[in-house]
Amino acid sequence: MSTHRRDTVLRVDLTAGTVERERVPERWRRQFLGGKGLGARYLYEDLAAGTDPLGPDNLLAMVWGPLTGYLPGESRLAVVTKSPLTGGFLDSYVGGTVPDALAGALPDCLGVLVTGRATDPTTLVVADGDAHLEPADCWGATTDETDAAYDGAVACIGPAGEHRVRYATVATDGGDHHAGRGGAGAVLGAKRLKAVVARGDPPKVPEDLAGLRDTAEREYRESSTGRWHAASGTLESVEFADAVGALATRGWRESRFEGSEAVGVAAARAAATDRERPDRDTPGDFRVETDAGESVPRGAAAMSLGAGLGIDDFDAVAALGATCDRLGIDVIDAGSAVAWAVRASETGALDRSLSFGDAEAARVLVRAIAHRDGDLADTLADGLDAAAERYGGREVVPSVKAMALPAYDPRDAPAMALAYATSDRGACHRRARPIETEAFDGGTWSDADRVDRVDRAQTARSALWSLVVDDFVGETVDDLGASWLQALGDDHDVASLSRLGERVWTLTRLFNVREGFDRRDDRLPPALTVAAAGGDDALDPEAFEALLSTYYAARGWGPRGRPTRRTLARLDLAGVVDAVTPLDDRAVGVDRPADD
Amino acid sequence: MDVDLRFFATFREAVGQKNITRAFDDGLTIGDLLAALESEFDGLEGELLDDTGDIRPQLSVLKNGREVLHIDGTATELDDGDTVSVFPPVAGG
Repeated sequence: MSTHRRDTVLRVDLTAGTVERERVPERWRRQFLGGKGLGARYLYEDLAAGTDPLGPDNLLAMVWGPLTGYLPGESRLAVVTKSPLTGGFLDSYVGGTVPDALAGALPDCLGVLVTGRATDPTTLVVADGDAHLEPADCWGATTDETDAAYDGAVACIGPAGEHRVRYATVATDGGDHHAGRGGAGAVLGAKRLKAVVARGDPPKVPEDLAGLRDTAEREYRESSTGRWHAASGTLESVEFADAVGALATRGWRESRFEGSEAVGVAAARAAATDRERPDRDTPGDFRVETDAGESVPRGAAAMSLGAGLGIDDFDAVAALGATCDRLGIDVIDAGSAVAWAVRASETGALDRSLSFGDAEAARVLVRAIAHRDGDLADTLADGLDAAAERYGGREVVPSVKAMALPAYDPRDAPAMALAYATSDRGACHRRARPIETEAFDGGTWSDADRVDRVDRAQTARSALWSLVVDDFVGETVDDLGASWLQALGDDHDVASLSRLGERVWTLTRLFNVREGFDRRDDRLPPALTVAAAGGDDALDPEAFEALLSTYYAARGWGPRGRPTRRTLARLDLAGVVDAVTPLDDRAVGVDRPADD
Repeated sequence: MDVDLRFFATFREAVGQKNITRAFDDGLTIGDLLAALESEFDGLEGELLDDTGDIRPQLSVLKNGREVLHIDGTATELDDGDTVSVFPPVAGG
């Protein structure tokens, strides 16, 4: 079939003010595809251990995949960098119009790699197969204002990114979508890159893939998940988590929220002016008007800003979400920072008068964090662990690798706790989310069952996010994309793609190990060893250590959580690992070290 | 006796509301309840039980927060004041 081969990247050096094109090594393209995998490969290759995430030497890669624009659902973009929040690997994904516009504007490219630091605020404009740098006149603007300042699809930072808040996002479409969590927005802020503007038409779906795409979208539309998604968007997850007693509420004090319905899908439906994608079979979340502007409240906002802060007023939660969206700050981490401040004020660690349920106080504090306005906000802008370090109170709101836990409470769900603990970018519910079944039948699971559910999901998503698939409609890509790639003339099959997923997951582990991470960073947060109010579920640290060892054994990693040479050889990573990345001699459960 | 029922996502759409209470005779089981719901609501017909009368795969039914498959399945007995929650497969976010 005839299609444009994507086998180059654009390198943008903001210090030198240059844009250069380079070919992606064929071996890298085959072994890592695009998205997460290719981004991780460049990050591991280009960065030295200990690189300052907010310094000019850090790399921020915006990477799409060989099938971007062709796959069912929404096209997505991987943003890969070293996180200023965790100090480790960060990948984050964002949709909207930008991924298709980038892939359309750069038809032979797989990504844009940004290094250096501009002298003055700068914009990268991508159009007609090339890119150039322009002065950015909108430094200080919110994400919606920045979007309105340009003609084209815009990925940008808001004030939080400019102030290097370590959980600032990269926003698209005026703040409707975000590459969130570990602070990719702060990395762009430190580089003084305000926006990436893409002017390209979406890639035309090749004839050979049109049938596959139609079938996948129909299957999703008719599937249970697709029907749920069409009915509720993601917002009902707050009611699900409440119903199964896994909803972190009021700073993790409780695990059920009496206001979950009030901030849930029925309230959104009543308030909605539109759906996110009204013309699609699965139309996305609900669009509402708030006094902080238009907003698309999602499950994470209802959970972390509603239940997490004890706010049971839908309009107030939506407005708080809209505030975060415009400032370009992650809703989970912002909500967790406020929750931490309230609990620390209750325990006396913080000399402030704060309380749960006070939406206006939460908005004031979030705005202050985004601008690093005042000592408390400045510290909270560096994350929960930094705040605990300065003021005390580490145990109250849990984190892994300095990233706040999302609001799925795993105290009665050890597999979910394992997913948080072993997630490569810090506590994350998207690499594996076993709680969706564990909440119902986890009581019958063995440790092997728990590990199986976590490592399978991590591996599969590593492959799918290298393509990069839509998180929801992508579920229909049940062969990890093999048939899609074959239609483009590639010879990947399910087995090779599964191995690719494991390779990518192991490479991100190598990156973190090189930065000094080991078993101690896969710890169980102390807050999870204490039962929530009114409950009796808490995790047992000894049992969790045994579970973690079972996980390492399944991955072929050693007792310190480091891959072994034998595992690297099995995954074709022996030639990738450098001399300064420490490895374990033998995997957990293996008696003798490998001969190699 | 009265049983409180909670529906999620597509089931909520089929029923038209999230929470309802229904009165039943004593001795009601989960199987009886699900069959009665399929009869009452057109949108639930064939959605809860399979051809053999078992709970459909991927469907989760909780009695007072506990998965009924780990109690007595469709034979699980219900008492006055019990809450039954009915979930399709979860789509999280």
